[in-house]
Amino acid sequence: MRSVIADLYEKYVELIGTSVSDDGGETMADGDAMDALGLNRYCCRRMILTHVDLIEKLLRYNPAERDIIKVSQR
Amino acid sequence: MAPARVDSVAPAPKKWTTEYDTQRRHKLFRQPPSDKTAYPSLAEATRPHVDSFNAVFAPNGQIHHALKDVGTKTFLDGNPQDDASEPQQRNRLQIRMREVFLDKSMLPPSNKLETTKREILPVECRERHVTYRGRFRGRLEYRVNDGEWKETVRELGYLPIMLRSNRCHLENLSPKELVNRREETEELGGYFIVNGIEKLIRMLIVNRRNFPMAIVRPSFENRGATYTKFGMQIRSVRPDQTSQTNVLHYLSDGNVTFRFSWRKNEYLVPVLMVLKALVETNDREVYEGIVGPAGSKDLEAKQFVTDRVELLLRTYKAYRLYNREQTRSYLGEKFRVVLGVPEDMTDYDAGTEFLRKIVLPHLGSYEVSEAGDGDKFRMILFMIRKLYALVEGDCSMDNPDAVSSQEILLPGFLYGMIIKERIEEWLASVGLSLREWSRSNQYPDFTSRDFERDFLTKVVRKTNENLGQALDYFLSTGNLVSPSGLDLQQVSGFTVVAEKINFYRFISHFRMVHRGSFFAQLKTTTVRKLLPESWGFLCPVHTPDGSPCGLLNHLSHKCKIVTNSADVTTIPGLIAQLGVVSSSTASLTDSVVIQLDGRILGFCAPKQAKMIGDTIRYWKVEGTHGVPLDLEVGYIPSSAGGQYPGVYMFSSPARMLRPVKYLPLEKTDHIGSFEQPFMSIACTEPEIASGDSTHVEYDPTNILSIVANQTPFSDFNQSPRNMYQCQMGKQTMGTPGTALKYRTDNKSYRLQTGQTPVVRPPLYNEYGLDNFPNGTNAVVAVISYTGYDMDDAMILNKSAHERGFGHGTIYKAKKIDLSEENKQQRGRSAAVTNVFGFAPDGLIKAQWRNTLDEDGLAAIGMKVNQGDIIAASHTVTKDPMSGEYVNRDGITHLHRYKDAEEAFVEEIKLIGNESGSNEPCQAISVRFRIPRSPVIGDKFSSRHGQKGVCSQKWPAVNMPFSESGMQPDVIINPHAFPSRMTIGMFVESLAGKSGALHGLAQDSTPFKFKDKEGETAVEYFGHQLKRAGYNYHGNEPMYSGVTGEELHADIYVGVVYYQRLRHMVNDKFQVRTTGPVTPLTGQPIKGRAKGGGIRVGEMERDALLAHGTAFLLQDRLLNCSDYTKAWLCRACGSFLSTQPTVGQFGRRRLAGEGGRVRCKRCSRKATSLDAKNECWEDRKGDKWFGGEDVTQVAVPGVLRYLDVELAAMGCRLKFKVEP
Repeated sequence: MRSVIADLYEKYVELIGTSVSDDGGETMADGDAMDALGLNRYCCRRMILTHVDLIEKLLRYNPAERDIIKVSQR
Repeated sequence: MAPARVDSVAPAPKKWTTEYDTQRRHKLFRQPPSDKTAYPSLAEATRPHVDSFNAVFAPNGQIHHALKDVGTKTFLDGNPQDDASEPQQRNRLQIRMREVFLDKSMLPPSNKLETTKREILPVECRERHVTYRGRFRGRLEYRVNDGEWKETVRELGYLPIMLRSNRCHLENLSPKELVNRREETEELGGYFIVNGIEKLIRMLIVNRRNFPMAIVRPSFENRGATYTKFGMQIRSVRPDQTSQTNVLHYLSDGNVTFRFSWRKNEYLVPVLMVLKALVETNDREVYEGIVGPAGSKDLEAKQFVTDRVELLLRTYKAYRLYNREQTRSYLGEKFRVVLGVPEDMTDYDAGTEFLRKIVLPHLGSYEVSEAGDGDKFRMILFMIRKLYALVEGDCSMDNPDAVSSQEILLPGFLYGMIIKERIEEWLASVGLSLREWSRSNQYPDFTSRDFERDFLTKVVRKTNENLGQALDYFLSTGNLVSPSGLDLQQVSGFTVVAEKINFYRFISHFRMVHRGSFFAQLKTTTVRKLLPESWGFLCPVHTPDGSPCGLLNHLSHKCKIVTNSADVTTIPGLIAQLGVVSSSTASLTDSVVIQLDGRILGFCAPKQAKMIGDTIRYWKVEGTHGVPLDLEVGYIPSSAGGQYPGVYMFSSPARMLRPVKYLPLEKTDHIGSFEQPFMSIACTEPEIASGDSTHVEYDPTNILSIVANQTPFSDFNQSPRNMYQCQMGKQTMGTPGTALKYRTDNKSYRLQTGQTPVVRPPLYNEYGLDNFPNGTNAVVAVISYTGYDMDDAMILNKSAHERGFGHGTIYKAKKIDLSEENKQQRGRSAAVTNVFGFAPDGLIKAQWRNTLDEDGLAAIGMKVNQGDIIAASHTVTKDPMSGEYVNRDGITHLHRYKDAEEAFVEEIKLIGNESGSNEPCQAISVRFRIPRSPVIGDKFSSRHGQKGVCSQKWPAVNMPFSESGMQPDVIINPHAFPSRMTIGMFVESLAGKSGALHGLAQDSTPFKFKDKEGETAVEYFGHQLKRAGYNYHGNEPMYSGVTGEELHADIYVGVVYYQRLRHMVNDKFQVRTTGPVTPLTGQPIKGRAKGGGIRVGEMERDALLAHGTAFLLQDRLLNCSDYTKAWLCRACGSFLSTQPTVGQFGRRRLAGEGGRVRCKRCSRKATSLDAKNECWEDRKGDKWFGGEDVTQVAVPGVLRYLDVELAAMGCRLKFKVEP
């Protein structure tokens, strides 16, 4: 019964970005996207729903920037 | 009602809602906006700090006024001891500071290595543990006699710079540019970086400026005979924001004295002397100014005042000063020494100087005109009038503890005030240096060539020109060193460290307002009380409990602080048009005062005053007639014995303002704390009373601070619980920021798996708190399940823990500075004596290389324990021939990791310097990472002040489960609720559950639901749950994890946002059997860090006794404490008379090791008759006989100590030893 759900996050983000209305303005609701992924219980759903993908933010800071500067100065 | 779901539409909606907006958030994360911040409200929060700093150096700003106020200093040449030299014949040197410049932070000119990027960014200062500062220079001008002004630019040291201010490289940068400069996307600024530590100047509450406050203070009576408790106090603020407090005292005979404090000394002057010195006046004018013109009505009723004014005028006759010139000269003569005026100034001018500097300087502090003196004169008359009204009981006292009579001392202004004072002190110190120079050079003339040559090179050079140092000291210690005290009531505690434990903590620092450390010592609690006047300005919830309670407040989130003076040039004209007269009649019911910033514009009838107040307000909101929106129009209506009536307008900075809706125009009005108590502001739309309410609140939650607003459904909770949550929110292990790599905090906490709460107010997004997640959404069951959840303990699901629930990390930064170690050894030599690395020709033990790399620094990622080596260094001397550093002794010095806890070396930064000299690396900064997954004993809390300690990590197989197989992450005991009444937590649980099921973000703003059938929160969320197929009440049937049987009761399960608090057992546990002891008593020392013990106090002792475990008590109080074996003489019963004997050969043998112990008291000097083997020898070599009856007993070490102490007082203790 227990299953890994972390892999579904990317799909979820993709789903809530897809449009459902004809004019393309309306995107899929969070709840519908989770239904589509087969996440039924609220303990799964809150994980996907409320995840904050801070890694995107952390990636703005390049951990190797000093090496890059060093190489470029060489 | 929580709003219905707005489907995620509208590309980049402008306004933040309570929605998740996952897509938009991702976009902001990936591509920080390159135009402006997405969270303007957040930037608004630190405005008072940044803007007040900007105002210091702005054109026509604080420093501009300050320099004018400081003016010129005059010094005379010649020998002051020499009486013959007349002042007229002596030459005068005048100096003044024309202007000052503060540069941005740049590399010093000595650095020739870097050519293009010469700016020093804040991030570099953090990483290098240095101060973010800019070069401070001043243009000094001087002239001799009436010659030409000569100018020179002096280097005045370096001043610390506030981040994101107009002297910072980060000013006006977009989030994208900030990221490129290695800052947070939402870097707010408002603080300083001092030695790598982020420091900010705390906002302080001070008395409202330019408003005469009626004070009744019993301590006034101590000032002298006939002094009464009545006083009239005004904090008069100059354009440069420095202030001077003037107080009028009422004496019991009806007289009035003027008190002021100058350079921390208090002076008293008869008020009439001040009045007569200000303008050319006569007794009649004074009399009518106070009482009202002769013939005005109700004059007979004013017997009280007329009597006293008569006395006031009569007693002044004793001074025999009849006109302005005489009076000013008299004042000047008395105060010229105190004021430090030049020797050649006449008494009359010194008197003018006195009036300029001390008497109501807000009405003219430099370039004072006749009109300014007139204003001062009228204001003092008004103050006397109000004072008599207070004594007579016509008006009440003003409450100095209410926000209506307070304003904020802004950080930037305090900073500017200190700069002003330092400049003034420095100019004065030139005089001292000049005198020194004159004395040692036989008093040359200022016109001589010697002077011209030496003035800048020797005289000014000798003074301490480093003014920046003072600011550095101020910011790093928070202590104010000031000869004048800056009219403040405290000298320390001005600055605090902006701790970045999590974002709530960080942002709270900028919103906090302190009442002043003077009030912390007061025994009365009146200053701490929450007053209704604070509504909308200070948050009623967000204050700590304990000693700072009520003194350390936080601004409501919509409260602004004005940092600029509004333009009020049109106001006097408008008031004149609206009809005022220049003099007042006798009775308060007939005429009341109209004031603008402490200047009297005129008097009018009370009805007229109301009309004026209303009209000005209409114009101000409308934005017409040149009335600024930030003007405060305090109309105080006439009342029987209430606050002194009138219309008091304020346009000055440092006031608290907040936005409300002005009903006549349906527009935003900014109202101040002075005017608010006399306005009718409806709290909600339905509460608007027709014909009465003029304003309505935009939102009832505007009264709460940023942090208090984040408590969901706080209106459902018992009020203290919301206070606790404000505290705990700030102690949560959350996300301090994302530029963690570039930070060097001593200790920082980070939560690995932060989530955004399901239940949150729209303000959560408005303040961008998703950038800093602070907790996790946990499935919480309220059930008494194992017995391990008693007394606020909570059970954690072991599987949840294993999947990373609440997993956190601590980062610690340690700086190893070789030059500092060098300093301790021998003075301040700048030469390099140590470098990092193994000594080149020395022995390198293999054991050292366990943790160290080739370079002598710990390997990255290395696990280190207490005592492990993290760096190696060796001593060097500079070889004068080759210029290289060589090691001569071949000894490697080791630097160790000192903390008890196992850590990983995350990063090592080699710290360079900015001077550009080519010396080897002298300092490194090592960052350690300590993983802290939750363990038993760690503290967690929901957002409702419900904290608890993890008592067990319960295996998932034994957890209760629901029908669909769900298990809670956290189990808490139902007993946590009845006494605490945190219903908000229940509602959050319901809302969280339905929110997760429907994929909604639930709006948890307080005061949204009604207490009416069909519109309650419970019904709203109950129906939502029902629609998702769950029980309306939030209960679920559950099965015992142990037996598999269904539990008899349905269990309340839901989703609650849980915070992990930073108090963790790993930082707290203290355990010891034996260890270090105090040498005096032999008892264990105190303190966890030193491996000390924990006191078993009286109550613990009682508990053990009552429990019948006396033997355990003996173990605690004796065996594990100061157990000692001591020798005791049975015969005389004394500890103190026993002593070890000395062996035959003078070698002292230890008592325990076969040596003997004898009682000296019971022995006598040995004679030749005594048997030799029964004699003993003491340390002096004397022989003794007897005293054999000694024995060893086990006693507490303090007992012997007590014996010694008593013996010192001449008391003898006698012990009987049996058997």
